Amino acid sequence: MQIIAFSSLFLLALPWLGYRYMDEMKEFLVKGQGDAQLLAAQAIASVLHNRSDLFDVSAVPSSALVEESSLYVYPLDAGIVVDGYGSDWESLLSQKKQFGPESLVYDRTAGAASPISFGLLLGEHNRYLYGLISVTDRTVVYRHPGYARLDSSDQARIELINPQGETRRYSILAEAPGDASVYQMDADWARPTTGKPIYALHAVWQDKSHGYDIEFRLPIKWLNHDKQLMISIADVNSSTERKVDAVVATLSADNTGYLNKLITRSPELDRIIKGLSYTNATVCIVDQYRRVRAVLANAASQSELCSLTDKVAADMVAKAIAGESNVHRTADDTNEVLVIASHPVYQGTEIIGAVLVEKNSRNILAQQRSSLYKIIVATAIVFTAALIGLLLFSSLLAYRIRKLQREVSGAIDPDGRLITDVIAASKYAGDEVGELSRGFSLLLSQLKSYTGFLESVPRTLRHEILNPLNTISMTLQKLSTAQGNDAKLVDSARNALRQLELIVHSLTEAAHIEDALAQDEKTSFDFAELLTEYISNIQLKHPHSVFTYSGPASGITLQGSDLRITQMLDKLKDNAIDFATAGTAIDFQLHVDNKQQTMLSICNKGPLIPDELILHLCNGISSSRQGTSGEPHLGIGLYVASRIAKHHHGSLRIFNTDDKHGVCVLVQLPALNA
Amino acid sequence: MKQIIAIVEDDAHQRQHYAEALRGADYEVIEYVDRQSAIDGFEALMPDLAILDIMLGEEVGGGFEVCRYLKQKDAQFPIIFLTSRGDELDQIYGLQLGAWDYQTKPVSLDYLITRIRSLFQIKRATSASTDSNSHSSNLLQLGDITLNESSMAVHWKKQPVNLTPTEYDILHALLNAPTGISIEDLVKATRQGVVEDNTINTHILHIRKKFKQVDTGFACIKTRYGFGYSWVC
Repeated sequence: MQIIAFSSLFLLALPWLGYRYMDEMKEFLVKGQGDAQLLAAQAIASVLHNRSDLFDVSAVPSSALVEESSLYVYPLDAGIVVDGYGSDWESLLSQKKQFGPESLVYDRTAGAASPISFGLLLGEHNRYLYGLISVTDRTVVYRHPGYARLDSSDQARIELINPQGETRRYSILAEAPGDASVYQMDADWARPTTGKPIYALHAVWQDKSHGYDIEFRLPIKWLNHDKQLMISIADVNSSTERKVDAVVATLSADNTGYLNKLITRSPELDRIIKGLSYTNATVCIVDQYRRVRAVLANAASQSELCSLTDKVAADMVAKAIAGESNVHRTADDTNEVLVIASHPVYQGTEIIGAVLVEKNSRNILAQQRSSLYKIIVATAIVFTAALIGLLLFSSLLAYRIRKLQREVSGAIDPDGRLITDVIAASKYAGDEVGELSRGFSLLLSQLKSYTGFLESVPRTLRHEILNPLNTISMTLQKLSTAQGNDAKLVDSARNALRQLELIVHSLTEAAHIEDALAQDEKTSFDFAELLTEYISNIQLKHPHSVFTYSGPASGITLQGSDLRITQMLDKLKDNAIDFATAGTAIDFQLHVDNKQQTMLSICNKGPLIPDELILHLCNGISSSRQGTSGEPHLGIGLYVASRIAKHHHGSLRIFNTDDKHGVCVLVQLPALNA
Repeated sequence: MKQIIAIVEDDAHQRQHYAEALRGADYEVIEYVDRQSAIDGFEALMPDLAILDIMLGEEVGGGFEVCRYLKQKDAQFPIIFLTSRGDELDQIYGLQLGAWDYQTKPVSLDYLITRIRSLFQIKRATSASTDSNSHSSNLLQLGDITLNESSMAVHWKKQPVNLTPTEYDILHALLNAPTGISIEDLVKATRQGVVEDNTINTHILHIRKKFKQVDTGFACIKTRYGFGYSWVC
């Protein structure tokens, strides 16, 4: 039981193995996902292959200018309420681009006035361009209606090129926080061209601790194809002097004459990658200047792919633009793995951009968790079922063994006497318990036959021993009274003694036959040769009996002890002579059947054996037949003979002949060859 | 001087019969009941010959112990075992107690005395043969086998075969019956009390073994099934 319990502990390793397997599977799946993502990136890159038009690569003098002049316009999910407060921009605030002294385009006081700077955020939604300008200015000077020149107060300026190719200038200024006035301006930003405020460009001005914020909105259709636009902040510090001290623009003084280029996400690219609809993944397309041209964000993941803080993506973009595909995996603290694949986009042989595909392993993890759950549930069910099965089986087994044990211990009474030799429990079962039960039955029946032999000994012996004792007693009486012939009396006593000796001898022989047989050396010998020689010899020894033999003269090899076989033949021969009717032959027949069994029958004509005796004849002292030899006849001879046959893996059977004229003994012995 | 015979036998009646018979045959007899008293007695006085019952009281193999003791004292000491069955012959051989004689019960007193005489005769002959080889007149020679009828010494191909007196008797009877000898005649030759084929068979087995020790190819004793044995060389 302990061994079973111990070995069943190994079963507990199965869930662990399952877990290990799942871990491996997860690793495999994540790797597979990486490969799949790379394929997806390749697929997207192939779609974009040779589509430089999508990347909007306008002619620019230098890549440095392109880098500097690019102003990102972020796609907005919803329209901005133009109210001067930056609350609508919350998610983009970190993307705010700062402009300061380095992009100072005009400085009247040569650095004497306090420096100004501003942050800019641009967004696009529904054909409008939105902007948030956060100006840091210590002294805010509002417009005074008394001044005709409009460059007499703090203001924001927007310069753009309209679709017709004309430059348009707009100033945003305010007399107080709230809705700002917008005027189209002349080339030197001093006076409005019409004097009428422009309402299509809507702007709101709000005071801030650092200065002021301006939020504005203008229709995108005002911009030309290249979306060229520049924003600058003019700073007026003295409310009396009212002269512009400094102008900070979104493009430095080195690039005077140029305008910034607005980088909007390409709607066509967005459309294309949306069409690819790589679910649950974030796709980012950048051009060769690392400008993000399209992002298909995965709603589920708050992905920061291609954002300014995304160092990994920046590295991968750099590699992709250098012509290298990549798969990158990062594990975060929640055990989620983030997989990013990158692939370059070609225009001919030239690289014009890169595709990044990012996806996390959340659904793999979810899959893993659900598999784990299933394994646990399945294991629990199997374990429970196996446990119940084992319990049932062991209880049944224990019950059967107990029943068998009760029956076996009940088969022998407290004094050690055998009550029954039949064990009914599990008698017909095909398993080991059944075998045990049958083994017990066999054991008990053998024990019964042996105890039967032992019990019959005193009864039979009393009768057999009393006769010679009586003879001796009478002889001694006669000798003491000196009656009759002394020599004759002594002879008679000697004969009686001889009879007693024979009894003791045959008893000893029977009692020790098993031990003696076990000690015998086994050899191979020719049984047919032995038998023919034996018969011719006993014919000489018993001239008054007739022995006939039919069978082969040689060629039947047996394994065993030839002397024991001879001993067995002696017993059977003596038995046959005892009971043969005078003048009839004792017939020996020998043949080998098709199962390699040597069959020897020894038959004599004479009195039949009662049926009820036949079964017990070989069990020892049981014969009540009166022999003709005058020697004690205890049936021990047959017992010894049957033991010898059994020892040679054979059997011995006694039966009355069919014609009811005699008795046959059939000895069956396994032959080595025939 | 009378020769001293020790009898170790736990049954008083049997012991008394042996003692009387032996005293009648002009031997001096010392009687012992069990192993311990026998060994104690031998410490004081070594007899010339010992007759040992194997089962001594509670000690099933007590006789063997006494035999071992005697063999330690004198390897050539003559001992006659009284066994109750033939199986014990195997035990005697298995214990390798030496080439002594055995007498199965019931014992014929006449035969016991004959045996004792021949043992003393052998003892004398053995010690005499070391002095001279003058007993050639009693030699029986048949092929490779030589029997010295006075010292009961047997040689096969000039090599000595150490047989017990009973085995010598059986071999002698075999050699004197050119057409073979029946079990019954062998029983008579050994003067065994009861017709007991297996005892003869056991003796034959041992004779064959002893010959095979000096000549592995020995096959001169042939079993005649249902009859007996014959010497075929």
